[in-house]
Amino acid sequence: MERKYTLLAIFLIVLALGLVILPKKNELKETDPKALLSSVVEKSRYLTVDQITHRIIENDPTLMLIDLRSADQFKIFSLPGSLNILTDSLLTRANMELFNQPGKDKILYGNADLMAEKAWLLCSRYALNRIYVMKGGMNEWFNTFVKEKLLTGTPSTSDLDLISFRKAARQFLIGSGETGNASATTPAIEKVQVIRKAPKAAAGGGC
Amino acid sequence: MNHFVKTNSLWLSFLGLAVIIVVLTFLFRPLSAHYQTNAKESITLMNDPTTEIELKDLSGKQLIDIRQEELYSQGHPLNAINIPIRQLLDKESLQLFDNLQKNNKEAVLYGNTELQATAPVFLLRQLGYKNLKLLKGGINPTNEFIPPAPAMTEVSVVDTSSIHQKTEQTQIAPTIQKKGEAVIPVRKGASAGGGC
Repeated sequence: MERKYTLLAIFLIVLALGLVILPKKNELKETDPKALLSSVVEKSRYLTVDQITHRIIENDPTLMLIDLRSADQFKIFSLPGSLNILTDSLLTRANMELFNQPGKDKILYGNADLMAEKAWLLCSRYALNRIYVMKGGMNEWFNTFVKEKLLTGTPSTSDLDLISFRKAARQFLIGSGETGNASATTPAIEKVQVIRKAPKAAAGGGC
Repeated sequence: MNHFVKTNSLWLSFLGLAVIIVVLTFLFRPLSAHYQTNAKESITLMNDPTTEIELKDLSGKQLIDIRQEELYSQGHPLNAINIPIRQLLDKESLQLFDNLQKNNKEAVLYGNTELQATAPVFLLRQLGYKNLKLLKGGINPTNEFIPPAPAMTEVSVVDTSSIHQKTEQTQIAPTIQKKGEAVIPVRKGASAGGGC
């Protein structure tokens, strides 16, 4: 009888050793690497600086801007409503809760694309949804809205609308903030004259 | 001994079966990718400056071109291997990365731009391939390596002197400015009749 128990014990030990070759269980939910690679190939995570600025101006309640730059750079200038999260603390419990907020589009940006791209990958690995990257980062935003990229060729109506929007957005977001380049192309705003109608004389009556 | 086998044949069969299952599972396990780093280690990898490699340091490294096959066939460095992004986690690719790692050989991934290879390299490094590096820059259509433009790196080009952070200013809604139209305020006319 004892031998049988010994053999049973050996049997269980051998099966337990089999568990060693199984992958470790992770506390956080993870996306399969192949699925993550497919997401990398897709470009739907990128939003342009124009799209984001439009949503800032519209006070879009679903917008959550995450500035990944250093605290110093964030203090000097950042997009309105941005939260400063350093990459070191990207996956802390508090920040994970923040990223898990339902109904919010989390837009990551750094100075360029590289840091935001890596942060996006890490967030996507941990199955966080609605994570986007501001294409070009703060450098692109600055070049677009403050330095004003020059358009080549004859601008179309949509180009002119875009230029007009960018000028207005610059004024809205950073006040005057005009560079030499910008002021040269900004037309003077015509003064709106208010013409008041003279009040008509009372038709008559009274005591 | 024969007596032992005869009396415990059932248990011995179970034991033998378990051993066979474990050995076969190990031998024929699918070669698939699994994360080898936890969240903390991944963040360390994310900020690891040794991941990136300069153009001048490419000698002796295995080049891996992650562009589409068509672009690769139009021109590529002599010793570069083409593995398009979608195929980076295929069995053959993982075998190649395993072999490179076993032989302590570093490989450098590159694409059209540094951005194209950034996420794939970061993903592969999280899968345990620490010998894979990212090229600073990319390759242009004329088959020349190009360094990244300053605005494409994480160096700030924001000229803060030209930005006046808005503080007390009144915000002006960015609507399209219309030309000076006459605004005629409509006023209620005076009452037509009297009364006390």
